[in-house]
Amino acid sequence: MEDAERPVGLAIIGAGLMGSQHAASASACRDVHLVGTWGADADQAAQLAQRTGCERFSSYEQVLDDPRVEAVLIATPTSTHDELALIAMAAGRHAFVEKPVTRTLEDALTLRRVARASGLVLGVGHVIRYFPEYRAIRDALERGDVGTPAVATFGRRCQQPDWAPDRWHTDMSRSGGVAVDMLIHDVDLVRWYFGEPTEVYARVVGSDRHEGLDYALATLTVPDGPICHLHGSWAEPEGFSQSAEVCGSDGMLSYDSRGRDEFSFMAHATHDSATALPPPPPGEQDPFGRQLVDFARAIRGGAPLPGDIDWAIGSLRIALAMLESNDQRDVVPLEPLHELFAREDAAMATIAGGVA
Amino acid sequence: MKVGILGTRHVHADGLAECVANCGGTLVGATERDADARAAWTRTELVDRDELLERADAIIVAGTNRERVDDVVAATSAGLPTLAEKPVAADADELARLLDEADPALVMVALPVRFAASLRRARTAIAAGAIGTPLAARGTNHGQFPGGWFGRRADAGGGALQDHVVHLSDALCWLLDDRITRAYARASQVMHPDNDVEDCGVVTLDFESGFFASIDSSWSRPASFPTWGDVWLELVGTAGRIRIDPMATHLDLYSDSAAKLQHVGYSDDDMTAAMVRAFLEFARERPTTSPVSFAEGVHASDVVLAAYASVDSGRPEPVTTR
Repeated sequence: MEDAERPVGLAIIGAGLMGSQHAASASACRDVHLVGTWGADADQAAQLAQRTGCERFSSYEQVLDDPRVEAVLIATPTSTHDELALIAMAAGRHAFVEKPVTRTLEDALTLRRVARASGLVLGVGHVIRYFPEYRAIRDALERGDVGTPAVATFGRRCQQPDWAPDRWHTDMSRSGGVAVDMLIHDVDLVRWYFGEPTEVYARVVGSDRHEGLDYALATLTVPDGPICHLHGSWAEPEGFSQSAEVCGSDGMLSYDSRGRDEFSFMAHATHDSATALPPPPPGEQDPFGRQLVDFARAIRGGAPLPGDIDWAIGSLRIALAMLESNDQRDVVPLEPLHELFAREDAAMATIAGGVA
Repeated sequence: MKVGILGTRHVHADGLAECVANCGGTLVGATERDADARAAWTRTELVDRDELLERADAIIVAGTNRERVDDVVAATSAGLPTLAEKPVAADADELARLLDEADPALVMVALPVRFAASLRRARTAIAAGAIGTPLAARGTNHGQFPGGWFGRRADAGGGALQDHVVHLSDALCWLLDDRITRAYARASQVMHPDNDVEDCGVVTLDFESGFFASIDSSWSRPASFPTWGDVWLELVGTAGRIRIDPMATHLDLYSDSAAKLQHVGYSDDDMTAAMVRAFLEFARERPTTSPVSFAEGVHASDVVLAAYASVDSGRPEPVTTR
């Protein structure tokens, strides 16, 4: 087999909700080979390894000692991403980090510097553009189906996060709450559809006050774009849903995930629904799988990743500005993104010059 | 109860008149200055204002926003209980005149949302602790562009923010027994370039209790939308979530003659009729405060004025405390 076609050896770090999602997608993806998994919660990692038929590593060191592991996929609590990614890149491994890339902008900029200096691929899980519904909205907007957009609303909701055993989501310093953890997807959509916002105003409950309950409302100002309003909820007892609406001079486009299942199953009251239904195999359209394919191809010398570190920083700083706006009870202006990166690049050049 | 209508050009005028007739009131006439509107009005005879104020026991003020304060002042000066369309004033100057010259005890403001059965149920549930401590809310009061004078600043004083924010801002104050302290708003005018007011607007509100909410009041529903718009509200608290959608009860009608999907409502809960019944009872019984008080209507307009100040300044602005 040509080296360029060889599957990328991958280890999944963190065996929680997102680690399991990625493991299932990786198992069905021909462009990667799932070597093994490691997580701080050993039982969780062991179960995931068993489910996906891969190895369970006993430490992060062991992962990085394994020559089969070319890349790590980091799906741990947000505040731990930077350290794990830095260690991986120091060990010469490509890294894919779940979104949000890091908890702070400084940590994300550090990752950017290290990735640039090392030449390793650093991907970030900005998966939303791989979802067909959001691509369909993008296509409709590009066709001009609603004319000139005037007001756009994006949101997602779920129950208060209780899936992580240590409940790290309820610690704002680890997760950033619903604004940073969830609305970053909707920030992606605003940037993808309409361009870079220049101002943020937001009100946020904060996930550290009521056992993880959180609610965030944000308004983004995009020059020559529509009014963009985002809503995120970790207070939705019905479970997960997402929605989008764009209204323009010629019409409106409306999407709500609720009630749009191509397949649904419920057991009768007399039967146990937990055991009856086999889980679906991830299909060709699996957004997480397609994201992994792009990551693998970037490593093998393909096209640049859509969700690269620059994109991730662009979205993270907006999500963080929501928290800042809430703290200040005021509008937070955003520096033009190209100026932020120009400053970073100049700083890198100075360091490189100093070393030379 | 003999009811007169001052001004017929608000889109609600005809519906209010119909409710009066259906709720046991007697329509005794209307006033209208505009020739086209005079020609279009068929529900009662048209008379001049002084004569109507003589004939009537109660008044409904349903002209343009610009006409409102003058009509409310005239009606309350004649000592008549008055149902005033919303918003209570077209702008800050008109609001100042209203505060100076109208008799607050005689005014009820036509904010029907709180009369919807779903809203009343929500208020009871919140008071009973069903959602615990209320934290935040999100609402939409979208509409189609109402047309005509609503798009002219001279007649309306503002666009979609002026027309629709008050319904849900007032409903939230009423649901929570709370008041609004600050507003941040963005507005755009993209859909109807011939108007001189905004057609889209989103406002974020802070309340005295720490509660916050956003309201999308945009005239963003296209002409092809199945109905005039929506009223929708979600409130979250520490113990639960309430969602209110008074227009959810509708059939879907696919009609080739209309060439668009249409909603056919089937709820027997009519918030406008409930509001008119409450007004007729207020006019009969004359309690010290009306079911939607002058102060509440003024507060709703103060919220809209803060929203416009925010659109101009680009920052959140305080709501006037009175």
